[in-house]
Amino acid sequence: MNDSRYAFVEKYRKPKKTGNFICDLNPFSKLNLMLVLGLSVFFVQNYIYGFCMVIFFIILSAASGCFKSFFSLYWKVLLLFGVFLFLVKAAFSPGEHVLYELWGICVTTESIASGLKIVSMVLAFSGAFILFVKTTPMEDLTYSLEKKGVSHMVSFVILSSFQTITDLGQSAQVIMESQKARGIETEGNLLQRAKAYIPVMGPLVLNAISSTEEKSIAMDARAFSAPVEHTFLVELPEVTAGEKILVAVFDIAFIALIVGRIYLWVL
Amino acid sequence: MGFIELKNVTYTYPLMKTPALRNITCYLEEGRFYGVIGENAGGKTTFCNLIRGLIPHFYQGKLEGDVLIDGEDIRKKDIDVLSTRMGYIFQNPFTQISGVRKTVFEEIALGLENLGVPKDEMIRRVIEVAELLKIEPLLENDPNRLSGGQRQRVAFASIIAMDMDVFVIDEPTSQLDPEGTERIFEIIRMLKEKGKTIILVEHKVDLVAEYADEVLIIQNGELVKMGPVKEVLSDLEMLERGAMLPQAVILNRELKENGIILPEVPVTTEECVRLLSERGNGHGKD
Amino acid sequence: MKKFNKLTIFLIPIGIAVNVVGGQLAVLLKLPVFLDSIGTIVVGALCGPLPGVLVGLGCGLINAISLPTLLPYTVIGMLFGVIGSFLAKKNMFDKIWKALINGVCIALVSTCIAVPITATLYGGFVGTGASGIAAALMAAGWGVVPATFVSELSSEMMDKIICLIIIFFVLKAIPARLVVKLPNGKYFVKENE
Repeated sequence: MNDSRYAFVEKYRKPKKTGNFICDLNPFSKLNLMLVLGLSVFFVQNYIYGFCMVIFFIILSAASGCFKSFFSLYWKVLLLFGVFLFLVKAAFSPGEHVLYELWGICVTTESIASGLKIVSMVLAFSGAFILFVKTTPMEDLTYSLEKKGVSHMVSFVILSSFQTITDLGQSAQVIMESQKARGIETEGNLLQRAKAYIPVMGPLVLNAISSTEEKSIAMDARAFSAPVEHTFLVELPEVTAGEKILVAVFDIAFIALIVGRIYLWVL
Repeated sequence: MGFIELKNVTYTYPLMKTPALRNITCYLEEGRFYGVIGENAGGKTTFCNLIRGLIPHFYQGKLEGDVLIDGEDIRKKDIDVLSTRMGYIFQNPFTQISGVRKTVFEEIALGLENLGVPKDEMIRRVIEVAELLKIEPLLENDPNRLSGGQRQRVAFASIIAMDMDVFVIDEPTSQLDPEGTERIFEIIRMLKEKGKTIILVEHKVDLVAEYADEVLIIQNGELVKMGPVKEVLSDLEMLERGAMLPQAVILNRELKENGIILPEVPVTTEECVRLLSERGNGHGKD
Repeated sequence: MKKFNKLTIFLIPIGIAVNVVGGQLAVLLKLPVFLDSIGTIVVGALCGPLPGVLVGLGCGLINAISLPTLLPYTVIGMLFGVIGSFLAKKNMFDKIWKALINGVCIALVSTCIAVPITATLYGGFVGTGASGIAAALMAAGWGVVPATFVSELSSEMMDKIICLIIIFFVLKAIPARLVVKLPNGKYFVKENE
């Protein structure tokens, strides 16, 4: 067993750790923190705070070493919502103080303010969501769920969904290629492209559905529903006291924020 | 757990008019290796489903007669409990990869996790079967990106690692080269030596002749013949009923037609060579 | 409940993947529709409302990974699962012309929920093709709600009618031996067949 070929199995013997503080947070702690931070913008209702959160999430992504994969998704949100949503809001929200007017479109101080506010909230929440997904491997999340007593069937459904998307995506590519080879147009006008959709999707869906029978038998052979307490090859570390305190502090601050906001509304 | 008994079993799949299996009666003993041969769509896989308990627990349909496992009616058995004692490996290697594990090592360990095997033993057993199947170089690979043959070996390893009492194996070598196939048969023989009961469906009748203890020929939904390898596979009548027989048996028939009579009917190539050379030597002495 | 039908568990990930890949393919072919609810409705139709809802939920969450602003619309995806099962019970998948009725009804329901979401959260802006129509109508003096309603309804109708036609053929083509094993199988396979 000291064979160097099997050096990699040593990682299974200890709880999984990457050495990065953010990545190594327990998935539930991370989910909790991101939710609190992401939702806080809706209660603070201030665009400066919102944009600070956006920058904060970008910094966090860099600190957790996943800036690239984070930003590859986030920039689209920034562009779509940061720019276009702002423009739509600025152009069409009602307001008194007109700054600019063209063909019935009125840009007012109020519309700009409401645009900035909504944009900052949407961006901050999206940042929290993407950051959570990018710093949490799905198998870590499902492990934590199982540890909380959620059925391993749920884990299977979650993990299998991602793999099936990859598999079906690849099959779609293959079918598309062969359709092209048989002369079916996939690039022409709208009608031609629409016509190409069905011969690709049809067989794909049917094959996928028909494979469930065997898949079920195969998983059954792996004692998938055996009435036995499961063990885990890959385990996550226990949540440290420090981490629990950190999460508690944020939760308390968040509750205080909500209470404060309701208090202000009521007044 | 050991013996499996079928008493006059007839089974019809849902929505089908004709039964897939008819009047099957047989007794499978603990610790023996049974080869199942016969034409395609003749009922071999249905036979496996029956023994594995998938009929009637997964496939509804109409089941007549009794299937007894350890003397207990399969209808009363919990299939989830059964799955911890009976291994099942089938032909299609693609659906047998779970799709929920990132490396081959973790894929093989999945069944052990489900059985609640402690971690150290899990690691030991995964390495053991990986070496057995010579897939150690694949252990860190993504199981979802393997070739058909590699997947077949991983699927086989995943079940073998679970170390059950009975293995029902339906064409495990369809995607393998001769060397890989031979390897699988060696492993099945090892399993038998460890006292496991093995039911193997296989097209390669020469290998069945070489490794199995007993043979069942299933044609057209009926159990045509069952018995020790030598007895069943040397029965030329089976050829007329559409079964494939080992090359050695066919060769023997040709030899016979040409006036060369061997003292017994050989069923494996080795045996054939032995008999021929003995005969050759004997001839020389005359 | 002895068991959540085992096959259903394996169909949920497939439903989710069919949604996502169907949507990706529509983008790849530059079609002006989403086509990302085929899996939800098929699973709803075959396995019942709860599995359909789970497919809608999973698909919504996965779509939200690339565009978190889609998250609120997940509710609609989940509803499709319920509708799928309901339509199966009412035998609405047995004739091709019913696909048109189904498509129009589903589009109406989804628009009625989507519009308030779009209007309140994003001021009528969803960041997809249909927003262009909404913006044009608003520029022409329409109010936010009617403008988004018209733009959403037009694109939804097209989307859902195409989806329902594909779903019709898929449901027809699934082998009966598989369908009978599913919770809603009785609505598709008649006893005497």
